[in-house]
Amino acid sequence: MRNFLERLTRIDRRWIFLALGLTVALALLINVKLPMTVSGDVRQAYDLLEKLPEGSPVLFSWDYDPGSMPELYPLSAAMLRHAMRRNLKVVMMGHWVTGIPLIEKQVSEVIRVEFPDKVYGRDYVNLGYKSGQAVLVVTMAKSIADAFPQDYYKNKTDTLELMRSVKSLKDMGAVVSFSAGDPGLIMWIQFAWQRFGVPVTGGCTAVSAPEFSAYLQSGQLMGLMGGMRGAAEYEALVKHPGAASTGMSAQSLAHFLIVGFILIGNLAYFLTRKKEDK
Amino acid sequence: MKKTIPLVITFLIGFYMILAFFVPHPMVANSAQEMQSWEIIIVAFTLVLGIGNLVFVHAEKIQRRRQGWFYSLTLLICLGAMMALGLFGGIKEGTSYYWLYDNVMAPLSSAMFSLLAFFIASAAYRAFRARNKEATLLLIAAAIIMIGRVPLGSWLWQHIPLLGAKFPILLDQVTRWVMEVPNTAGQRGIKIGAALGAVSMALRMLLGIERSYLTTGGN
Repeated sequence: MRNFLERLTRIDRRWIFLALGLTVALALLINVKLPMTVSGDVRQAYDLLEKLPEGSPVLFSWDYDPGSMPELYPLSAAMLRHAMRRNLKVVMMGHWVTGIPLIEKQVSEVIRVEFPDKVYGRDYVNLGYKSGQAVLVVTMAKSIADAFPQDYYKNKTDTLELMRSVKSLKDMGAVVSFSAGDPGLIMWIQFAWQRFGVPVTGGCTAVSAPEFSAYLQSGQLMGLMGGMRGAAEYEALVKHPGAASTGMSAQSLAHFLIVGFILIGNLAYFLTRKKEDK
Repeated sequence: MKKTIPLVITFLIGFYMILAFFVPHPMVANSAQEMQSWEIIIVAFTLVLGIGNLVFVHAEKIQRRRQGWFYSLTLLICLGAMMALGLFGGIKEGTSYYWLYDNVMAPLSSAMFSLLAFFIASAAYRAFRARNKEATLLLIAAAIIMIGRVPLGSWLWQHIPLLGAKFPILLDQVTRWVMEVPNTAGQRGIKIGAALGAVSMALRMLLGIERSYLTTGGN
């Protein structure tokens, strides 16, 4: 028995990798649908867009790159879908240069397929990437055309129909940031909301969700979608289950497996330690 | 003189920007805005510096045939190819750049990030031990969050005989409490500490006490 426990404490990490890989693959193949309860934070973010008057401009900032796609891409799709359904005018941009093509991808997959009547320049605009981070946000509060003289397609920003009515960040009904780190959601809270009073909401990766709890409690952040769970909850709210809802069964089993590993590891640790003490 | 001029510039510009925050006069606000526009350009130049540094470091590695030089060569070829394709062919949908981004870079980045789950599983097994009181508390909180944050956890909890049926949302409530009370308290402490540190560092730089930004490589 002791040999077995000692072997268990020294188990080759490749067995753990294999177990996790098989669990996730199996969960994705079987794809069990689990009931999803919507948390208050996600509901608050949904309500923010839901309560905006039709035709209000909103800013969507893609502050992530392909590394965080599994968590944030389904969320940005769900929120974009929601905004389009509500006929909100979406101004898109990003603070991560490697994330900008994801806006294009999202436009192709969501807007062009599901909302073919929406017109570029009138219903949505892609401003692309610009360096500057917080300074860029402050400049946008003065004039978006100053911050982005051209859009992603090299059109002059102030010639676009939508941008003729949306001159500055202060004209936005809300800012939504899909954030994988810095620059991202915190920067929008600190400048767009705190300095210019524009309501901010968004989503972040699961690992960074705890750091936003203080902003949520203080009311500086109007709702939050944390990781794939947040995205799945938003998909449930817009009644369009997608990649996040599919991924939740895999994530559920992976979490249980990791907790199982922690328990086995501790059990082996305590039993071998007791024997050593004797 | 080499140090005095940058220190004077830092002092004057720094305090002018603070002044502009409180003085709404158009002359002050416009000039501060103009300087912020310059900052955007300066930040853009850091990208050029970054690429230059990357090329220099890896070119040297290839030249000296250091271990793994082949990977450096691959990196530089990919960097050059993506830059050339983006500059001359454009970056929009349907271009070669976009195809490479969508089919090479996006899957590679996603794969890199997903490896984290494997390492977390392995590290949790090896290092997450209830060695003392604090470690045990951390372990219990982590287990509650991991189980409470997934729908399977809530579903299983509700199906536990007696306990789950009597208190169906207890797990959700405990999970929320961990996130909203101890976690937020800790986060606030960290944030206040970091903000005070940033303010004091900024003041030290503006007043010329902190001069490390003027030197490189121990000079």
